Amino acid sequence: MKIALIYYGGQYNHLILKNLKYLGVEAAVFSTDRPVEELNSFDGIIFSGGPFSVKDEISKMGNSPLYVKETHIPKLGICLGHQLISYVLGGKVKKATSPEYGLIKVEIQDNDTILSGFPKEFNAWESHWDEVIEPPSGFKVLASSHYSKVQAIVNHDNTVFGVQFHPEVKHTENGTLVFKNFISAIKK
Amino acid sequence: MSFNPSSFINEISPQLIEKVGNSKVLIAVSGGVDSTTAAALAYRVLGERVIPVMIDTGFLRENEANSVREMTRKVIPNLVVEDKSEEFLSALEGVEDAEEKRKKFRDIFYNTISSLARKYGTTMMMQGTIAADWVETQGGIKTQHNVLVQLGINTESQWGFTVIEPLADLYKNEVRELARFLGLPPAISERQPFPGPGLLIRTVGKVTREKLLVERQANSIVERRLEGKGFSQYFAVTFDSDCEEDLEKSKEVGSKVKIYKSRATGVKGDVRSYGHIASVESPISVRETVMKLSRYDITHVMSIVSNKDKGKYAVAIRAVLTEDFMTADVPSISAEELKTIANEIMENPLVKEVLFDITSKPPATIELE
Repeated sequence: MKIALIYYGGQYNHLILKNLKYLGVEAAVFSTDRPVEELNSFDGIIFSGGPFSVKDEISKMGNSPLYVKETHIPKLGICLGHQLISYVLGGKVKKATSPEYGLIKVEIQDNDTILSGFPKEFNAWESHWDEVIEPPSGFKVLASSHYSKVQAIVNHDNTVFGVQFHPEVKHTENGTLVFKNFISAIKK
Repeated sequence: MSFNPSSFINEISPQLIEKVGNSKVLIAVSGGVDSTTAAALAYRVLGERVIPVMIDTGFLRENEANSVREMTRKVIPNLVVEDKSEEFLSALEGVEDAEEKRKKFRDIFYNTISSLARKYGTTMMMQGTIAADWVETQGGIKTQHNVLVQLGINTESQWGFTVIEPLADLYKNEVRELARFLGLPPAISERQPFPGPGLLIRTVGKVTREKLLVERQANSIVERRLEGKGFSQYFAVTFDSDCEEDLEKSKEVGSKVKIYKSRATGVKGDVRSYGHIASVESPISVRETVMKLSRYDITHVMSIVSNKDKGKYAVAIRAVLTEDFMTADVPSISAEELKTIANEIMENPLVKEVLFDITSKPPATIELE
């Protein structure tokens, strides 16, 4: 199995790589100037976090919209990646009225797929200015926090996922589960 | 599966041998876990060709050079300490901006390394840079002094040496595992991190010799009082006490909020933030208060432990809980305990107040600059 990791210069991008390495999965950094066809040799894509605002700065994210729309392999978006998937597929992303930094209580409405194995409520770490306020059509919301309602999403056939929190940092409880669940989704 | 020190050594050793060849290599040692572990690793692989050097920058803690020499006597018997304190101090006195300080420090540091490399007849230097250092620097959050090649700096043309960083892919928790595996004593493997620029970046805002003295003394008190309590890092910072009450924000958080003229570094949504320091008289809910104030141009929120009418400086107690230093939480310390520490710090008449930093990372960074 081989996962393409799309880097946007976020603080925790390299931690994602290490999480995957320790789970025994091969992962390679894939830069956004590469043609979308090259992703066909991978089994899954992870879109990581970063400093951009998708609405105004999508041009700084290279071919990312194509990676979301024109590939048919499982995808996981984290923070900015979650916003990117939502935005490109027709959801709504805007500047948060209450940006979340540090510890946030995430409440799960649906343990489906990517959040399988998580307790009903868990402590997650976040760092975001923007937030998804409406997921793309065909997606359901799996979890929310007090200030930010769309904390995790999944599409109709359980192949595309987004999480607003950072599963790759140690302060997020059971964060590794997100990667384990994504790997299971790829295997299906 | 997780980090395995033995397979890491097997992976890295041939790379080190290939890079160094038959030459000598200078290694910069600060006495912290990263550089000392890098030095111990280098010894194991390269033996006597390694020349360990510690630079006294003038921004070390009380008695630091001696205690590092003591602690590393067994693993680095030939450590050379070079006293360059006056050079660093006179160049950095009066500098105010955090990034300017860090970059200036970096330049003097590597000029020194460059002349030492020449003195010892080598064109190679090794250092203990780890993943958190280059991630933060490349992301533009703050310039860690030991990140050069990742910024595209050509060290060969600028300083005449190539750089080797055997630990660049590791985080602090992994370095500690490696240190234990290499047989370093707990005094090193479990030591709390101390940044390269040292007290320079804890003497927040404009650097003066007086402020640095206040900081050095306060830092010793905090370290002594908080040692052995299980915190990942604990120290003091010193900044000018000038501030103004902010009525609107006071109303919003339900307690008196003061905004300081001094700025400190934060990281919000992967972006560097160089905002103000704020204090809150008695925060009702710590997380709620920090969350509300971090929407503004504020990066570090502090609660007031003790204060008086007069004094030039504010001293903040900082303690965090973290394994890899990429994210950090703030432990709760009893009011009584904080007060005891504050009383000792307040014995210095120049100190107007003592605060406790209650900001996690993000939105703050662990250090203030």
